[in-house]
Amino acid sequence: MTDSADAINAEALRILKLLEEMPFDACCPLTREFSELPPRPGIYAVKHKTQGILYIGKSGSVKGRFKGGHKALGWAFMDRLDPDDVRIAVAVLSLQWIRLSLQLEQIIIRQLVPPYNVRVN
Amino acid sequence: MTLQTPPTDERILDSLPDEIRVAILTYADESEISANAVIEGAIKHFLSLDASLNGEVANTVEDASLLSSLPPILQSQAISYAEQTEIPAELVIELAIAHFLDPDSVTFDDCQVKVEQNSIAWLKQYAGETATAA
Repeated sequence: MTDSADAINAEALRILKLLEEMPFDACCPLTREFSELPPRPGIYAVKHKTQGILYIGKSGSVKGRFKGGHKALGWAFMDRLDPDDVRIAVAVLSLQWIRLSLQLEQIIIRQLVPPYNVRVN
Repeated sequence: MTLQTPPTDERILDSLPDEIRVAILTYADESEISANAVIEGAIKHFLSLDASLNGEVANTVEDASLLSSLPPILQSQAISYAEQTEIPAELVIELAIAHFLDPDSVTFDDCQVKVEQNSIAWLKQYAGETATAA
């Protein structure tokens, strides 16, 4: 069931809803150590307080991904966005979905078309 | 004919997909450390462990497991991470190596292998810290 297109699509939309609806104050603020981010596999959204989701990505360790620097945050800086208005929302992936992260990410990006993902492609 | 099991410390490297193994060997060559040290470094990096971590811990896994190729302290840390995240302990090795080679990947399935100069520099520093601690 997990491998079926319908199940993958449904899970992608569930994750997208979770990332979109997560209150800004509940998202992880930008810090040097990103100590609030989980060191776990997940799909994440870089969110702006009023502009919404700027970028969608995935990583085997969301915390590790940001500690190494992230181009989406570089673009936010270049766009003169206030760092206090940018936060990160995370949906941790369970074992069932870990090997399907690429498909989940692609569905979410196609659905949302985040502005910073468009720059990447 | 006598069947011989491969040396324990080569089992993880031998188990990797070709593209991943080549990348690990490239990092080993560029950093002038063993492939095994690259793998251990990747796991320590993923688990945010101190490079000098070398405590005395008893082996905790069966010899048949790939985890048994790792130093006992890494075995215990990998098992602890696996329990917290509710994934198989051996998957931690894959997540760690994939993350080291491509931080935008989750597993080998979506890993776009890159050999980065800053990762080579990190490995050299890691090797230095490990040698100092020994």
